Amino acid sequence: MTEFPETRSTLLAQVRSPDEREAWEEFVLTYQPAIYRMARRRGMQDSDAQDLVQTVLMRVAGAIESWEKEPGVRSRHWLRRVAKNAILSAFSRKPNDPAFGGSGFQQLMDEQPAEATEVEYELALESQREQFLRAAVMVQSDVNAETWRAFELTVIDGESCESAAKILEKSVGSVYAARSRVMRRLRNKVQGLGQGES
Amino acid sequence: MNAQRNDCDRRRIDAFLESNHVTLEDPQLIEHLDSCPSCQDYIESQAAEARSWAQATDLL
Repeated sequence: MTEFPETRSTLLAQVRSPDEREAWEEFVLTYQPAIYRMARRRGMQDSDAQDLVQTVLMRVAGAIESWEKEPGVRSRHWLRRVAKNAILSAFSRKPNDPAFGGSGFQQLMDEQPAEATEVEYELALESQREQFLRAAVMVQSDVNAETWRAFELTVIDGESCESAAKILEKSVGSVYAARSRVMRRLRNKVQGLGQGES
Repeated sequence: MNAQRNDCDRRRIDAFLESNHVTLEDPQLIEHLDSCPSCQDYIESQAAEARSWAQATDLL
């Protein structure tokens, strides 16, 4: 996975309260790889894709500075809304578009890119993918290698349980048990990550 | 449709899925799962809803 060494430490300094910091950390973990994948899918080279990620995150961090907190509105809610607009804007305009440079909170809240629906769907899918990937890393470290392999073969690689049993030299029943156990844990982890963002 | 057999123990399957012990084994349950399509379906349906299974395949 691509690393983004400067993004978190540099931009985190701009985030003020602990509540905002937590929301920001969650946002970066989920959206940073999602934005990167979307950029690469559009044919951008690695360095250009990382630049775009950095630009979006800087825009969002800049918006945090000018945000006036509303009573009863959780940080992650407004952060997600601002971030979504920044991301939609980034993928709906060329990077050298003069309008892309601004980072005021109100500007980001007001933006409504023309191709919003399509990009919004892609963003939702990619952020969901990131949650599954993060959850999978956690679950894989929790279970033994054979248990994970049974899940990987049957759910990710598309093998039947019978085929996986032959590959692993295990019984079919143990494959059903293993993949179901991993799936239960994965679902619970994903739900936990989703609740953190709700 | 898969008929539930007399030796099907759904509570045992539930306990297996809910256990926090990552190394927990249940040889009797696994042996039963080898030959019981009804319990194979049940353990998968109890592990996660069909949508989550599909998402895992699509997203991972």
